[in-house]
Amino acid sequence: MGRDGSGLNGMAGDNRMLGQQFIQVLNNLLSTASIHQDNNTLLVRCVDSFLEVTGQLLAEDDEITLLVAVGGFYLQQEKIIFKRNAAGLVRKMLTFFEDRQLDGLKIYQNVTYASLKEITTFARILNKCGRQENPFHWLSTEMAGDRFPWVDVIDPSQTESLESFFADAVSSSTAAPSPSSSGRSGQTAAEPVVRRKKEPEADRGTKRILRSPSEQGNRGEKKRSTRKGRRKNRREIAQKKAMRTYGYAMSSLQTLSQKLSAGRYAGIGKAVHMVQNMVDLIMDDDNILLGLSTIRDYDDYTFTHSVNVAILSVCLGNRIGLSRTLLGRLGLSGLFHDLGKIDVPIKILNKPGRLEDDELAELQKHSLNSVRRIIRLRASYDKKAEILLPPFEHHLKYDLSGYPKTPRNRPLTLLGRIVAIADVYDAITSQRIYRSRFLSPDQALGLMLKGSGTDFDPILLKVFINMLGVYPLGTILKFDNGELGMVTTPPDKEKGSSELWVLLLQDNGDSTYTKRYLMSLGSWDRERGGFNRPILESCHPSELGIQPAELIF
Amino acid sequence: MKILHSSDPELKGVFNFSLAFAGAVKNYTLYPAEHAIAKKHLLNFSRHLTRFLADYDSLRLDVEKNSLRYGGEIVYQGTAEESDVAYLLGRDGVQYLEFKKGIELWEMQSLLKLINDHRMVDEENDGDIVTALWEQDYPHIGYKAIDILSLDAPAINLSGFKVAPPPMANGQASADFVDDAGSQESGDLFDEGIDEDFPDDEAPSVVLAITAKGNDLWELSPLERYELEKMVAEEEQLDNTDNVIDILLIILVLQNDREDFTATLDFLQDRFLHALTNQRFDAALKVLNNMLRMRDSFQRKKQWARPLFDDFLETVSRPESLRGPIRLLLDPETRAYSQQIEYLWRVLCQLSPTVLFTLGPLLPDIPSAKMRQALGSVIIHHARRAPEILARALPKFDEELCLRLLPIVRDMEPAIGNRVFLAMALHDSKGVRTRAFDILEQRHQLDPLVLFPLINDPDPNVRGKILALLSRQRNEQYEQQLLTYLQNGGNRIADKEHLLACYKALGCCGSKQSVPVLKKILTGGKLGKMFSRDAMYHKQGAAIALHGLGIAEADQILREGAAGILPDVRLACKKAMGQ
Repeated sequence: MGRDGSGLNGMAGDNRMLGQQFIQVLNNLLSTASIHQDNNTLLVRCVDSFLEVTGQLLAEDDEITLLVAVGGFYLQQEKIIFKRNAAGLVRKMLTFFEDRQLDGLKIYQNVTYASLKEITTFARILNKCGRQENPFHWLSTEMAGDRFPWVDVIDPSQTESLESFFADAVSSSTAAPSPSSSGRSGQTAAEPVVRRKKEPEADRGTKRILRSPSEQGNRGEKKRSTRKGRRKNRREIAQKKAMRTYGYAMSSLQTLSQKLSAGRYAGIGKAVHMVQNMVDLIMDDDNILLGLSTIRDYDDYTFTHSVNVAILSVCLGNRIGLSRTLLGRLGLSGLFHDLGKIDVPIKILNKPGRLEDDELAELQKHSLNSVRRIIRLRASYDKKAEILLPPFEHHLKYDLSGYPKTPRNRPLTLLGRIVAIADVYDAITSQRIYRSRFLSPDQALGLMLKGSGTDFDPILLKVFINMLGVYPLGTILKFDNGELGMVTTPPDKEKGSSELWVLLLQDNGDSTYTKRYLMSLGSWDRERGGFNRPILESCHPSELGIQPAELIF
Repeated sequence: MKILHSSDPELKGVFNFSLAFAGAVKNYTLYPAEHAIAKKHLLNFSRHLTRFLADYDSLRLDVEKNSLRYGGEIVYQGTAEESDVAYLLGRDGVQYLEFKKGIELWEMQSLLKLINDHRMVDEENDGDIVTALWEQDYPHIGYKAIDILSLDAPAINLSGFKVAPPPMANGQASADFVDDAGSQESGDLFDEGIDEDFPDDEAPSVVLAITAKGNDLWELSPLERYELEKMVAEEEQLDNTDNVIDILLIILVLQNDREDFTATLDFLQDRFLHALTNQRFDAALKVLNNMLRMRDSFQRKKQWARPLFDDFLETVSRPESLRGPIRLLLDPETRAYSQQIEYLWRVLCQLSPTVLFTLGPLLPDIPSAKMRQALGSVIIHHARRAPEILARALPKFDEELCLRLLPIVRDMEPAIGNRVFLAMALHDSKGVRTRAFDILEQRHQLDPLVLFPLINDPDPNVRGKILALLSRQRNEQYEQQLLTYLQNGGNRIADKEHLLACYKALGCCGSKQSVPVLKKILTGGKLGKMFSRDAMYHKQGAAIALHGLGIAEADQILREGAAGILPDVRLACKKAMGQ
């Protein structure tokens, strides 16, 4: 719903409950079609109701787009708000779509001409596809031809992702594209295993719609390009919002730290606003903020680190299905987890090399100091109690080793375990003054996996790895032919995308790189244990002086 | 701007609703939510909204500076005050509020509370109406707010972030890839766990990239999926009271800075009260046990902490802090024997004895006899600990509890016990007073000055005992007490026998200092309003007192009066001398 809580469907006021009604009639139709014949009066009534509600919706728009995302339904791009007593219906229908690996439906104006038989047959096919091994593939076969010209199902494997705007970045980059970049297509064509994205503009920001070939010609090109334009526009707005959120997070944290260091009272109102925006953005699409979480700042490490931890934590929390309220707490906890570092002398924080025992002890006080600082924040006790635990626990390990060492012997909280994972990942992939060497994202995940079950919650760690992908966003890959690529879209099972996309970079020889073009490395091949193209090694973009977010946004 | 008064039923409905909404908000700022007036306004708000939503699917109010609009028309014009709904919504950046069909009373009530909670703006608080609306996520109340980030957020310049140190500081900054990544498994990396702050000399020389570990390693099994769902469900329901209390206690123990200590203690106090309100008496007990332990152990190291601990105990022992337990104790459904109730008794025993002021008067109202019995034990526990507080709290105790306390007090050290008995001797209950009197009498501990408030006791025996005590000896304090009493309150003594007995006692304990006053009462024609109605009795009493004084000056007055021309004085004097 976003900060704009207006919620229901961009529809006119009179149609506000139509969202729930639509889900209700769809559910009735699917259920009834599974048990009754076409001549059953109840089924006939269900079809009539379905047509009535779709008719009302189509009076407002040319088509009905029902999307399933982040645990909810979106009708015409607006989240459907349900009455409390409809929780069972929502759960049932979410499961229905999830079981069939469907991202949604599109219904067109010509549904009004659909026969009862067509509609009931489509409902039965939808029911049946849940029992298939590859539901979407099976469905595409069943829907081939012009059987159901009034409906499309949305293919989950083609979700919107970052590649949609990379193409823009390439074409509008201030760094001139390599003259040879277009000529490279021949090279990729010689390597059929690598699918080159030749016309990124054509696919940008759209979900692949499964439709019969004859239908494809029937839709007006103009309308489609308008829709694409609208989506692109939405993405740009979301990017701008994400950038503002990141900037706001940095500034609110800096202001807060300055106030606390000066012994002044500091409130968290700004941070709360920022985190709520962050949660909305992530629930909508976590890719953009995940892209921003690759930002590294050598000089102001603690601030960027804290914001990154907040982002990574909320993304992980979102992946495991935490509620919006808990995600808000998680974001604040992540943001404030290192607040106690303002009490650590700067000479210790920036000391190159190994710390003496007393210095280490001083540094290790920071998690307790974070709690102490949070206690002194000007906020309600309830709010502070909600965000206190992860900062305390973020250096305690899953097996309760780590620090601070206290008599407390309770298992770590879920939020604490999440922040601990995000904290370590961001930290070990960042360059610090006391170490010249740091890990590439995939090496970091490899190392963290060693600590699964001892240092980290094994299940959460797996989800984290699934979320970031084996080569997380921003990872620099070196290919067998010496080419460099930066990961722009890792495979994401949850989102139904299995391909790894990279942005090829050209080394200008002066520590600068020019963006070339996007390239798919295909899906992970279990047998070969890799992607379509051999990857020699990987490294963190910072090692090449690259700020991935700069290339992404 | 003019408010439109329309005959259009839709607009009229919105107009009426807006007024009701504004009225409800205003009254929420004036009265507690449970107050009849606040409830009345809530129902009015609900009635108008429900009526409107019966015909329309939603009602959207656009917020402008101090006013609300509907479809472009002003339907409410307010003022820039913190009790005005339009002002508050506009101030926090709400652009519109939308009420949708199906809205329930709890949502309306919660919205009013939410607005009231954020009435006072504070730069340094933890949110505003907009953040609270986000958190509440009402199913039937939509809103749109100004995106403060777009107004306030600094533009970030990605190229301004420095990804690595300057090349001179670190020659490797833009060097080659990490050595041998993914080429070799290292068995002894981070044996002591993964440390995010590892310096160079502790860095893993070789780290195997995750890709080398095989895809299956990070696939969730069905069991893991189930575990994950379970842990999320548990987190959503988690009561983190114990965890937060644990951490606050840890911070408190380690704290040497007085300001931080006080802030932590205040937080802990809030969590303690939170635990009491939510009937988490086990958590509350944990706080108290640890506080008491700390108070003792800090005696030498942090002497300044002791008064802070004492203040904590005093505060949490006040009636307003104990609303949760009180509600529970008064609930007829509460089971006398449950784990939490057992913890409650222990919590109450650990509190400051000033809790007697709350628990004592509560006892008779507790419906369950078993609970009364148990709470009585808590009271006895505190009575033993702090008899002085018991003595102060006793007047509010009922007869049953006082009589139950008698043996406890009898066993106390006499000096302390007597103070409690004296308090009992002043109790409202005749039974308590009599018993206490008897005990004090046996102990020869009756002090007539302390007991003097009982001079008006309806029980003639009690009054008689007080006067008898006053009559035992000549004493200036007794004399002054009686004179003051007679002068100030004598006209209100309905029992004339008692009035004469008071004068008689004055004669026994008084001195020549009383003579002028008594002479004036006896012979004065205008004694003031106080004696106007019962002048005859006062003259008799004064004569009795003068006679009792047994001094020549008094006797002379009596003789002169007996031979005087005023018949009532003559009669009184003769009667007194005859006695």
